[in-house]
Amino acid sequence: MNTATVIAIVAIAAILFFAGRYLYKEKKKGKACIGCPYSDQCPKSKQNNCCG
Amino acid sequence: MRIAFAGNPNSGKTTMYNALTGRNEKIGNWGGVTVGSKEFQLKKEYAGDKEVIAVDLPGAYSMSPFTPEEGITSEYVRTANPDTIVNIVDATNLSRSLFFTTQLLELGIPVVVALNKTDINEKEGTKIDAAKLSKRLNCPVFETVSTENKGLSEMIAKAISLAGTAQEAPYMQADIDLHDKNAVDAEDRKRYSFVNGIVADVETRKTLSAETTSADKLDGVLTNPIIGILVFAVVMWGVFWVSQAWLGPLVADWLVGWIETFQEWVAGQLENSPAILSALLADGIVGGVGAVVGFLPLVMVMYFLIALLEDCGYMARVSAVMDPIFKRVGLSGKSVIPVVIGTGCGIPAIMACRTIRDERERRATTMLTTFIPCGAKIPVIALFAGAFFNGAGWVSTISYFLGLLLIFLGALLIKGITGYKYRKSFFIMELPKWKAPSLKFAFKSMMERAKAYIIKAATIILICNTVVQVMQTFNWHFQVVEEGAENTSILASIATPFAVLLIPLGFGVWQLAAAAITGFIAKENVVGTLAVVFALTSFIDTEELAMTGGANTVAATMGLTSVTALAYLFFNLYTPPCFAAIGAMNSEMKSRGWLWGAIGLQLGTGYTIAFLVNQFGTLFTEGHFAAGFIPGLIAEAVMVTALVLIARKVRAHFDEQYTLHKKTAAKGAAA
Amino acid sequence: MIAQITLNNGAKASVPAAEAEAAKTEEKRTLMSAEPGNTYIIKEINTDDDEMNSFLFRLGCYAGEPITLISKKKKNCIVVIKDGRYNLDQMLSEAIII
Repeated sequence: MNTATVIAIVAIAAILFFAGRYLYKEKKKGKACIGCPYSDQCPKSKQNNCCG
Repeated sequence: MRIAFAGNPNSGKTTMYNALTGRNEKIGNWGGVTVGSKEFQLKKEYAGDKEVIAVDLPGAYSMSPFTPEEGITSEYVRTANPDTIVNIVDATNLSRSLFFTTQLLELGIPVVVALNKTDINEKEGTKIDAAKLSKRLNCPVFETVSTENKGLSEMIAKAISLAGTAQEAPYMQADIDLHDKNAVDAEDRKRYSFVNGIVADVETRKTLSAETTSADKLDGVLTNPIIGILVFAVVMWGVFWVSQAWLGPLVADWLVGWIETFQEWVAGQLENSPAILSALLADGIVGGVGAVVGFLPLVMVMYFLIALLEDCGYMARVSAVMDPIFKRVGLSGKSVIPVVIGTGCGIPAIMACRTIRDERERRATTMLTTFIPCGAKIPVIALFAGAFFNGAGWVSTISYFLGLLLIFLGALLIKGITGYKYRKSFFIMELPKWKAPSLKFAFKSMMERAKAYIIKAATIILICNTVVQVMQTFNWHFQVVEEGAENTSILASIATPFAVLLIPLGFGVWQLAAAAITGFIAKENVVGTLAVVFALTSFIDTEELAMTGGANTVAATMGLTSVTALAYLFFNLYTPPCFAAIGAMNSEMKSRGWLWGAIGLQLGTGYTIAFLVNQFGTLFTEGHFAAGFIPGLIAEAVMVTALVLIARKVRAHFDEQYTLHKKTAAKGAAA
Repeated sequence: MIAQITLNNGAKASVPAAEAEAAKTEEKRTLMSAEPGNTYIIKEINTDDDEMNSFLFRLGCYAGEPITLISKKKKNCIVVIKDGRYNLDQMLSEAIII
């Protein structure tokens, strides 16, 4: 175990953690597709008051 | 409190909404860009201390909806009780806009009229007496130019202060039986003559709108059935060439150089660490994400150019010139707009289908529009063009035009299956005034898309790549697979059954099958996964990679010839889009049958195209059919049989369906 | 004000010519047989589709209103209704009787 290994493990863990957390947060906000600039308009993300 | 923005299509509602909220919603110079309602808080400088929500609504000509998106607007202002309505009036077409205005004024909700596009009026010498108009309409009127933020703060301050007051209508519809068509007609006529009276009173024009101008001569050329289509082809070819063969790769080369340096540096730092770590971090995360991000410049240039096209007013002309062709295959000219938007992203394209009125045409367009390669497919195209065809520009051009051809063929097929119902299909498209496209808006739209692309790469694609890397490194006993025994990895064993199906297409190896599968999560994943499973990053640096005949490192590692590479590329382009787009299709079509039909059609098309390219390509280059010709033929036969069976079933219910259809249509008209 | 009057004048001038033409051919004259550059008065809208009729109405395209033909092709034409330019297909322009 050298320093580079430790840093690498920490880096991987941190990257995955933040990516996962971002996804989780967005999903919780009700966004259907991550990063999609149209998700506000998307009928999928707000099925409650959608009209024909 | 809520302020609703309502007005005619293409009057500048979304531009104003963007200016007031700081958002970056899609705008374009044609009617029907906004197809759903959107809301956001007003900027502090406009709202002050209050919390004010602005609601942007799709454009509508009146309170009685004609297309589905108009229905959203009339339903919102009727039922959602906004505190104030800002009615955006296109000052260049006052006589038409005020019809809707007078209807809004009847609702009792305070209305503020924003007389937009007054800069164009100034140029044309048209004068509108705002004070007089305000008096006649019995509501405040402000002259605005939303592209330059002119007059917005006064207008919105007034709108906020009016909340809670009552609006008195200058014109009230008489109490009539709304089911009596003649009575409604007569009322509408009265309303129009009231509006005409106001317009005659407040407006003075220098140039008559009926005069033929030089812009009309240009329109005449652009809507010419032969020249117009040629111009469109050249314009689109130019967009693809600049973004994917010239300017885009120029920037991408430079960017990829940096990414590679970084990856090497990471790998160098991990020299003394376990191999699995280096693989995970350097190859999986940095390499995979880097491979996707490397294509960002191509995508950005493309978005910028498309935004310019959408902003100048050309789209409406394209739609007009394409209408006769699209009509012949059972679609409408309005289907062109989803197709062009689809070059950016399939989801807004699918949503843009709402402006198509006929249900069959709308559903058909929804299921076909994703054949046009979207922005996420650009990396895939660029990768194969660079690695196998020396970065040839024709690969991307062919990809787009083949997509267009597939739309036509698919439309004919749908027409055949559903049975051709003779139905008068009218086409009317407003031709908006030409304007110089705003570089600022195009830049903003480009940056917005770039941001979304990077977020996607750094989240979904990163996680997918890591999972792929882990699945490839371990076998089912969670032991690291040994060199030479890669076929025992988790990824290999999952992907192999799919790979067998792909043998007739020329790429039946598990790595390629796995990449195609991850592509359904997001199409960029194809590139990311290929980078991970073959441990390659430098896809773009064509000088280093591309040698003649596809005999370079990338090509050699993947074990593809140029024929099978093309087949694989087409397979990825024309199979169903990502899950997000399929979800959008589901909610727009509102029919299980159509949704599964769409997915089946897309799978079948992707398979068939790849099959034909591989088999006939091999026949031409090597003089014999490729492996799996007979099984492939059997698969095709199964698909054709399924198609015939579905067509029969649909046609058996044809009469029944048709009468049902008519009944519902009549009901809709009555209601 | 000025706009309205000149528009109406222009329209009136072309109506008798249109009528004479119609009488000659003894059939209803549609927008498809009109001359580009002229303004006509709409006599009737006949799309067999109530919703379409009322949609056109809301654009300001209804009997008694002027309509100007800007250019004409085999399959489509460009017209001015009120102050907006529209592209109409053949089917729709044949449904507009002038």
